[in-house]
Amino acid sequence: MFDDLVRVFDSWFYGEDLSKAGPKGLSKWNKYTDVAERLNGKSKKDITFTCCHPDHPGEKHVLGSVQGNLHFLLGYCNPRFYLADYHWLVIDPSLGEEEAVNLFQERGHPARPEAWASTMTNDPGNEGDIEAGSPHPSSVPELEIENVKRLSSKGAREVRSGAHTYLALPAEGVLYCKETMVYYPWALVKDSFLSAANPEIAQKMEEAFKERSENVEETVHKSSEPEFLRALAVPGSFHMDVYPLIKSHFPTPGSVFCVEDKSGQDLYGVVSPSSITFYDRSASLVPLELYGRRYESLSLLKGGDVNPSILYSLAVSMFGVDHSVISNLAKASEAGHGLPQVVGAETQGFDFIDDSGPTSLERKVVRDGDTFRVVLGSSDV
Amino acid sequence: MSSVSNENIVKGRLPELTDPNHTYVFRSGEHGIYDYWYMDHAGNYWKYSNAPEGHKEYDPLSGIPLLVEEQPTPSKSPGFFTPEGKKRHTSVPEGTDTIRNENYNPVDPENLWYEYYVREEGVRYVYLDADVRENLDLWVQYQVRVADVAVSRLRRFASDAFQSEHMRDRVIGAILMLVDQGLFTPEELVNATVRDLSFVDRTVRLLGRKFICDDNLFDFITSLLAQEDPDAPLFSLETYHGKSPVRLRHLYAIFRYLRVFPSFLRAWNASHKFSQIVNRLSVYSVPPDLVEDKAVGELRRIFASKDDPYHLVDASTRRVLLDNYKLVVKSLSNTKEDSDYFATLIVDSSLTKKTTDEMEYSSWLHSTPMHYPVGELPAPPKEKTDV
Repeated sequence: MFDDLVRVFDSWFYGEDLSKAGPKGLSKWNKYTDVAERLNGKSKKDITFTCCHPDHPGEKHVLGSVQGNLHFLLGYCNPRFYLADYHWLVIDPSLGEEEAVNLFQERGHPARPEAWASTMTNDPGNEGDIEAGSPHPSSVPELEIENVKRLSSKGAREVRSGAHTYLALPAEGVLYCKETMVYYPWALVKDSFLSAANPEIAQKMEEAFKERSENVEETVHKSSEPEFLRALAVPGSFHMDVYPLIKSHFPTPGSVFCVEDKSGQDLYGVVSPSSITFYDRSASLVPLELYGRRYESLSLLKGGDVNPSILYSLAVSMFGVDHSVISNLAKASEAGHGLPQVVGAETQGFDFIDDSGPTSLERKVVRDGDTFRVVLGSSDV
Repeated sequence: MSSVSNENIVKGRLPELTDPNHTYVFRSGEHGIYDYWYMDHAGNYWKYSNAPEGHKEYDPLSGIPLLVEEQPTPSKSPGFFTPEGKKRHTSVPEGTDTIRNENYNPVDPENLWYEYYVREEGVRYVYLDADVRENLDLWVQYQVRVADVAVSRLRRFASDAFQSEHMRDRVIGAILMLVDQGLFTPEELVNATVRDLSFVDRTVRLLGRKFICDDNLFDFITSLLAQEDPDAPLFSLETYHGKSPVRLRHLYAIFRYLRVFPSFLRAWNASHKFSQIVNRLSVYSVPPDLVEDKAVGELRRIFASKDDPYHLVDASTRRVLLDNYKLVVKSLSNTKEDSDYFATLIVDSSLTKKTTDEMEYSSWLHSTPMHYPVGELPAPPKEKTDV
């Protein structure tokens, strides 16, 4: 799909020798792997917009093409083009993920509604990535009108009260005012004259309200994680020297989990292949102080600067790991399955060594079946 | 009680009964605590204690319908009535000249207002009480303002109750504080169990929402964990028959006494929090295109409820803040919070009045008209001059 799509991206390959891509194709070209990954599952429709430039009114342009980029950045695009952050990568693949996200947040939608209104007579409707993107804010009232039509077609009951008309939406638990485009939760309305004057609607709303309040599995409204985390959480796999417990029970690299500090503020732990780093909501790195020692990030490597007991405590408190996991791992090792372990057996035959310590630091490895011992002693051992 | 009622009781006369000119219209309220509304020939609504006998909403336990004493009447509160006898939604100060809206039309959004008068703070619009009750937009706006007025009264009551030596009062006081400052609904608290309560150091986590509280309230809440059964109700009262969970009707009766709906108290909190958030986003120079999404996201984090709290935000508050993002926001909730973080609420058991930024918001709220025409708000009509 990417290789088919990329043929329209003449702005990417201007002056470029496409044979550099090699037999594996453009999507495997190192400089384009990021954007290829973001475009995975997308179609040409997600990056196509209607142009309103006076010389090209109504023409369909694709982001990534020279003409498309030019007209888009100049604002000659459909305000109802749903813009997502990856569109900036399509416009310029050299930007990088983090920069694209920043541009998306700071630049906003480039459409100029006044240019659109002056040139276009036909409305092509919604374009772009409707699922992941958002349109220009100026197009919101039009979308609300469409929303009302959609809600009305779903069988919402209409009722008039005073100067305005309202749509009763039992499933959503709100009344929607068509003229002011304001939603009123049923909790605010149920004691009103409108409710008393329309007992049938009130009954339906009340029944739906009770059903929703009893539905414990209904999603609680919460905002998503801060967007900067998306750039930091890079998927991958654990380093080979990471503790086995972590490999088996911690979230995989690229995951983000939420913890709280002493004042209840949310902190976000970003898991990387060899460490966990914590950030607050303002994207500032949060150092940890554990047992009097300061950590910029928690190393997950064996022999790292973090005591394994600290990581174990984190696993127990955050990810539901308990002692049985450790004993199960040990049992699996004893049975010859799972992870190998060093079993500390009592060392024999060193009674002759006095308290002053060994005379020699020579080490010898003595194997006994599956176990081994490192023997430190005199050269006679 | 008024002196007239005392005189009636002393002389053995009954208080006023149903005015034969009043027609029963509808009943409002819930949990068994109802108001019954009748209408007179002038279209004014009057509150009674019961529906007419024989009506399906008649409550046999409430006795004969009587005119409720605590409501404005022409003799007691003349400022509530126009010279023609129409009831206003608010009292006009004595001696104030009001200017009538010549284009008044209850079905015209731009001309819903009946009259206005000018004060030092600005223009005050006056609506008919009947329009406020019958028009949903005006009703919601009005109740948010009623909640705003009731906040101080509620906080004084809650703080006094919490400082009582009786555990029963302390429980009720704590619940009222959590409804007001913790953004919980009475239903959530009544149904909360011991299992729903946990602590992260000094932060209390209850039903998925976090708050920090003062030492007194913290000690009280930690004592609730002394109950051994994790499924036991978190808030319960010692009664003659033993421990009993707090009932919703009990709480709603208290809210009724304080003359505030808990749902509109929540809406008032949502509106105020929204204005704080937008102010903070302006400090961070967030682009106007992203303000609404970010503010809504932060509001949802604060409330962490099934219902979208964005719908609770007062429409005029939202409109003014978003339409005039970098210009007008300084007139609302100007005071910066100590913490940048809104999702951890602060519950103070000694709080007995509005905070500084709440008072700023309150001042703005009461100076804003309740009606919303489609389009811009009309300029106040020119003052008439006597020829």
